[in-house]
Order: sequence, then C-alpha cells, then structure tokens
Amino acid sequence: MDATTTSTVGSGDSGGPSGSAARRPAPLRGFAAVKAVARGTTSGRLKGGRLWLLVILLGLPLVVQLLILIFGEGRGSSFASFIETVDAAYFQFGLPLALIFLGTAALGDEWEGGTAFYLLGLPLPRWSIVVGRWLVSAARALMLVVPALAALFVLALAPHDGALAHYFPVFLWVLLGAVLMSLGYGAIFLCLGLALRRPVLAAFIVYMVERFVSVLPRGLAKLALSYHVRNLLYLGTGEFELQLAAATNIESTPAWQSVLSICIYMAASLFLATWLLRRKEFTGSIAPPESSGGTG
Amino acid sequence: MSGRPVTVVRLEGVSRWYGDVIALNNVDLELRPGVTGLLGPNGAGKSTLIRLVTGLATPGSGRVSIDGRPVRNDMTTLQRVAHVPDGDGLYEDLHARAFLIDQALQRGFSRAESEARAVVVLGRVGLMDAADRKAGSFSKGMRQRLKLAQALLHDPDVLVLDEPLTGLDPVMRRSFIRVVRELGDEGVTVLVSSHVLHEIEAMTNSIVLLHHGQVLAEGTVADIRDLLEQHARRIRITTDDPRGLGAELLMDADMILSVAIEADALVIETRRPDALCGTIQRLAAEGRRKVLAIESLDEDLGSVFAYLVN
Repeated sequence: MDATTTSTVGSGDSGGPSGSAARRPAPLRGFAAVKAVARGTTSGRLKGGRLWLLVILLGLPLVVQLLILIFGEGRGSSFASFIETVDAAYFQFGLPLALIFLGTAALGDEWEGGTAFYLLGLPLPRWSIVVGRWLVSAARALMLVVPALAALFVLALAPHDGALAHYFPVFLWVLLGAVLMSLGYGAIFLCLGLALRRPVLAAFIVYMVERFVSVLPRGLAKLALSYHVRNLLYLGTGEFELQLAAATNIESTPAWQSVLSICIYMAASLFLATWLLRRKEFTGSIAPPESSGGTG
Repeated sequence: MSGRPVTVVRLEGVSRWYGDVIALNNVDLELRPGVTGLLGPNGAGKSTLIRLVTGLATPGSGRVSIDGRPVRNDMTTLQRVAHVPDGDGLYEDLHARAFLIDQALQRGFSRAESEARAVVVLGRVGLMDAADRKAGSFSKGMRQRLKLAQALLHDPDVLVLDEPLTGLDPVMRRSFIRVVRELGDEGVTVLVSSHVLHEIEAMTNSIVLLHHGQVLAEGTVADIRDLLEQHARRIRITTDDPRGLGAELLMDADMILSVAIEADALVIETRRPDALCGTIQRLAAEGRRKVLAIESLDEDLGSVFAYLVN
C-alpha cells in the first residue's frame, strides 16, 4: 500500500476497479460458469504423500509388465492379461483410490483449508460450482490413470504382431470405462467430501461396502456402480467376454443398462451435492484473530 | 461517489444460534454508504453478523438483505459484495497474481480485464513486488493485504472487513485505514469490525456496539463517549506520597467516589476524570505533590462494555 499507488487508485481513477459499478459484469451462468469454476480450481489437487502413493501404485503394474516382457519369454503378455490387470490393478484399486482422494478434496478441501468463504462468496450458481469441481476431479484422476493404461496396453500387446491395432478399439472401450468410473465415483466422493468431516475414511468405507454389494448374487450386484463399470469392461473384450465374465461372477447386462445406472448414480450425487452446497455455511476461521493490544 | 448506487444493508430481527448458544439476538441494523465500525469484545457476535451480511451463513430467524434482496445464494447480490475475512485461509500454492486473476475470472471478467484488475489491486495494497510469489510464503500482513486485494477486484458496493488490522505493522495499518476511508468516501457501504476502539475511530465516526449478540449502542463516536462519561472511571496515580495526595484530593468530595491506597499509588474512582486530572496537574505544578504517572484503568473495550451493560 505504498502512498503513490494508493493515492492514484484510491481516488477512483478510471484505470482501476474503482470506476463505475456498471463496469461489473453480470454473474456467469450456465456452461460459462462451469468453465470458470473448472479453470479457476486450484484446491483439491493431489500433492505430497498422496500423489507419490498413487504414482507408485499406478506405476507398479507397469513395472511388473515390463519385467514380464524382459524375462517372461512371451508369457503374461497377452490381451487377456492386459484386461485382467486393468480390472484388478486399475478398475478395482488404483482409479477408485485416486478418486477417493481427489473427489473428497474437490470441495471438502475448501473447508479444511479455510478458503470456503471465497467459494461461497462467488456469484456463481451452486450447481455450476459442483459440476465444475466434479469435472476437474474426474479429469485429474484420468490424467493419472490414462497414461498408465496406455503404457500397459503397449507393454502387454507390443510383442504380438498386429495386436496393438487389432485390440485398439477395445482399448478405447477401456478408456470409456475409466471415464465413466471417474465421473460416477467422482460425483459420489465429491458429495461425501461436502457432507462429512472425515470424508476420506468415509469414502473408503463406502467403496468397500459398494464392492461387497457388487459381488452379491441374484441381481443385487447390479445396485453397485463398480458392477456396471466392470460389466462394461467385459462387454468390450470381444471374444474374451464370456470367459472373463464367468471367472468374475459378472452377468452379462446390456451396455445401455450399465451406462444408465452409472448416470443415475452420478446425477443423484451431483444433485445432493448441490443441495448440500446451498445449505453449507462457513462458520469458522482457521486462525483466531490476534489481539492488537490496543485500548479505547 | 458518482455512478455508484446508494447501497443499503439491512438486518431485520436477525437472530442466530449455534446449538444452545445464541450468537445474535434479534438484531435490527441498517448500514448505508460510508464506513461503519462494528465494535465489540471477542465473542460479541461480530463475526456471525459479518457472515450473515456476506451470505456465508443463514440467519436462524429474521432477514438480511442488500437493497431489498437476500444475500445468501443470490448471485446478483453476491456480485456486489466483498469480504475480507478474519481467517488466514488462502490458496497456498497459488501466486498472488494468479489467485486474483482466478477470482476475477470467476466473477465474470474477461481474461484481459482480470489481468488488468489484478495489477491495479496489487498496486493498491502494495503487493506488486510479491505478485508472483506463492501465497504460502506470505507474512501475516501480506496475507491481509492479499485478502483486501481480492475484495477490491470487482469494485464492490458493499465491503465487509473482519478484524482487518490484525497482524499489520503500524505503517501498514495507516495505509490500510486510508484505503478503507477512501472506499467509504467513494460511496462504498463498508462495515469493518474490531475489538479495538481506536482502530475503529481511525476509520470512521459511525459505530455500532455489539455485545452478547445484541446491538448495545449505535451512533457516532461522540455519542458513545457521552454515554461513557455518565459512568465512573478508575484512575491510578503513582506518587511518592499516596496518603497525602489522597487526603488532598478528598477535599473535593464531589469529584471523588472512592479512593484505594497502594504502596506507591492510589486508585481513584471518579465521574469527572478531566477535573481530577486538572487538579492533580495543578498540585504537581505547585510543587506540593510529586506525581510520577497517571493511567486510566478503564479505557479497554471490556470496561467500556461493562459500563454500558451496567
């Protein structure tokens, strides 16, 4: 607040924001609001221990696959092993873990970090904040997982002539599964991050319960989001579909049913998160004010 | 003030509870353009009132409005309001300039306009040199200035500052106070809270006293001082002869309500502190008594409120 600058701007100079209030734009709405939220989202990023943990966990299958490639003499480098690794390492473990961290932090970090007053003070529709943050958290998870999936695809199939081109459509199917999973779980965990004080633990518990439901018999499994993601994965595997489905207790459910189920989970979670955000308050500061020591 | 609408913030019968604790109790208040000081001891309900005015919280009962529109979750109103919170929260990994640009973009400014506004407000709060440093590396005073900068970004009609001078050095305080006064002069409706009377006095003549969630008094600083003068004050006089001085002062019984003698001082309770100080000054000037120090024991805000409550 040097004197020169203060006197210039403080006098209502037209070059600064002290000019007419009419220069303020109308609040953003619709997609523009979502875009602004997504572009301005800095909180909820993975850093430190969590980031390294995920990088190691997501990289581990690649190291194993590389070792198989070097020392395995052709064993374990096939389309089937690619799909099994995708399912076991990424769809059941790595991606959900990334989404637990990223989804719960997408809005929850604002309260934990004491920055929620910036968020709640923004003249943006609450649904646009939820949607913007949700898309960012899903995108961040995919940025971690998609390179690993691509590398695994290459490592598993490169030794076989023409396999990469032949199975490329299936790889796209796998990516679609990853995207749907990120959007579905991302919405659920974002909602938990907004609703609970210890959302990471709660998200782990929810995920474990959900995984348990996904292996229940007689159609009960269809209540679980992870069932539908894996169903989509297997539907995309062509000739291995039935073989893999039998091995993992997946009934063959039409793809549209699975996509619809994931979308319903997603929409319900986002609706609930918006409702929560509208009711959410910022009632505390992270640092109590120091005494200035003055007197009347 | 040209071009700026007259913005009125109104609280009507506003109460707010946190469990069994009542933070605000049936508060009626109207704030108009210019600076209004919100004064109260810690726990008076200042921060709760500020959160209600800025839409961060919902009143348990009553209504908070700006120009007749509700604040909370109302995008048009929120676009006109800015808040400098008492908390220390900033996006630690973000550079000051990037933080401000993000905030401006989310308020609907174009990229170019956002960048220009960020530069102007950084200059206004004296942070231009630190524009490309991460907020996490900022001192307490710099963080306060960055929070003020984000509040000024969109040229608000209503600016609410919660204990804004906390952590600022004396030079910064003066600059901060000057900016607040300028904003008031420009026609912004400014509400600034503090638990320190002289801080508020430096920014405005118009104050609201809040105590135990209720508006205790409202008016100019002179009005409040008038109220205070109706109450007794305690003054401690350090002297080499407390008993002698006490006896001499007691000769004017109208002036003295009570006297307590200590080893090297006496504490006098009086309703006329000015007259008492004049008498002491005269005695010292005549060489009849040696007075080493005079201090008021009741100038802190807690005592002020105790007087008013009683």
